[in-house]
Amino acid sequence: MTGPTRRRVLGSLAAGGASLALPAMVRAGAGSARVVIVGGGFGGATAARYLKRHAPQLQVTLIEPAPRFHTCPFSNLYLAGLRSWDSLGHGFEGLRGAGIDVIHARADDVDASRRTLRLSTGQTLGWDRLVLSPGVDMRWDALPGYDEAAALLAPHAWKAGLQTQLLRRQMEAMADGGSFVMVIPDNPFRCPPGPYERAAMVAHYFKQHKPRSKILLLDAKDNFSKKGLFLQGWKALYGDMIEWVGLADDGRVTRVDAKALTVETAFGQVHKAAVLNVIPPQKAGFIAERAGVVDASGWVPVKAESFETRQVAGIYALGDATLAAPMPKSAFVANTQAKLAAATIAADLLGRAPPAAFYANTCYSLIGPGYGISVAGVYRAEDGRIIEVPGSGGVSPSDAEAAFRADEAAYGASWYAAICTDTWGA
Amino acid sequence: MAKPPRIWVSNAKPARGEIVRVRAQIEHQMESGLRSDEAGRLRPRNIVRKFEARLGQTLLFTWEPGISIAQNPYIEFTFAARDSGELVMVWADEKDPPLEARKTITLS
Repeated sequence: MTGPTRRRVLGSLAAGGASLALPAMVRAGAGSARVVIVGGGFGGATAARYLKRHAPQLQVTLIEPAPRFHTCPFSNLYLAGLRSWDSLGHGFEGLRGAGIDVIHARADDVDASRRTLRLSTGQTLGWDRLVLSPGVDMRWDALPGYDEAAALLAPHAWKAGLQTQLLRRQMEAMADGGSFVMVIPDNPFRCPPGPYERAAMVAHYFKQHKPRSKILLLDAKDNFSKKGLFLQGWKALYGDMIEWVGLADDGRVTRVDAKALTVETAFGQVHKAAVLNVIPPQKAGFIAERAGVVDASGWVPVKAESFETRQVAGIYALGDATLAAPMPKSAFVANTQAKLAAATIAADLLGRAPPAAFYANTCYSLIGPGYGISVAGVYRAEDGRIIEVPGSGGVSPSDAEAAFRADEAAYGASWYAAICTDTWGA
Repeated sequence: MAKPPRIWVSNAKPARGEIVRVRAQIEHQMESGLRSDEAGRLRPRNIVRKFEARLGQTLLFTWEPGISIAQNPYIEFTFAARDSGELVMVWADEKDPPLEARKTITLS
């Protein structure tokens, strides 16, 4: 595993931050600079807190519509009945307490030449540096038959909120023996192991309440994150309840009928669902388009060493919205990118040398209570690209004993508590 | 080449001039010739070298996949339905007899 390496990397980042925060090093005038951050999730909230930590004199403003931010990580456990909805919600008192101005509004438009941001309240904010961490939007034009209206019948539940609660209600209302069908997109999309963890968490709920039910996964690809471990874990805990159909076996869905709760595959097979969970293709959040920082892929290309956008100087982007492969679109990655970008922006505004760009990721997935698996990696910038540090990463062993899986389940819960504290404080 | 090819057409009874969409996929390793086996020897190349689609006697198009094409090659194409006839698709690799898939197209 990567523990020691990761600690060393994060330690060196923190040390860099401490020296930046010394008031004596702050140049006159730099303290009045204003950084505006869009998005109160793992990327945005982390960036806000770490900017204030590096340079307390900066004016830091964070824009987030929701008064409480509900996390996608662990929302599958809510579907399973293993977490309460409230335990996924995080307020912004910690940020306000750190001197960050939090405005609950939607960011509607960016004027990159005037360096302004317009809010849904009509207010316009000026900025010296803009940080966009808007997460993903669904590509409603990508999968015929699946639009915003269809999502009210066949929820994606891929942004934690009403959609997640709707999916849980549909699972509760479903009769025993029903078929839960999940449609899974091709890469890249938010949270690569997420659909497969969800399958396990839905199975956990069915096993207890509706044991004759089936789960069918229709996938647009042949391989996925931690595939061997998931297949093994599904089998161990749920027998044949979960069936996964990949691209080679006609798993790619090309049409959705949300009213009939049917989906059609590329080669014309029609599958009928009792509960239909469609995870459509995605793109960077809307405001990234308005800022002119997305490319033809719909995502935001960034500079590997800073996460400044390639398109517009002075605008940074973080998290799921960015093209940061080989780093996955995960909460951990958004958090680690935010720390690097915050240190870079602080150094830039204070006239200091930029920090060295190291990044890390860990993704825990829960297959059942006391059965966890993980994947980890360490990354750095090299010649303008992000590369995985050779020998740094790894996944859980395939032949681990039950005690190992139980430990990883506990580590996953600790990870969630720790990263939420790091991101939102308190 | 264990399983038969998988094919789908948007409409087997199109109106004259209608654009018909075709999807076709076979299971094939697409062995590039660049991979080595456990003993370190190169695995012999065996890829689909030629794909051909005809409607009756009319050649719609050919495709010559290279070694960069992924395993289980998938192709999707359209044609304008000008005649009735049998849509015939043929995949030829470097080792086994060619695979064939057929679908009758009848102008409505």
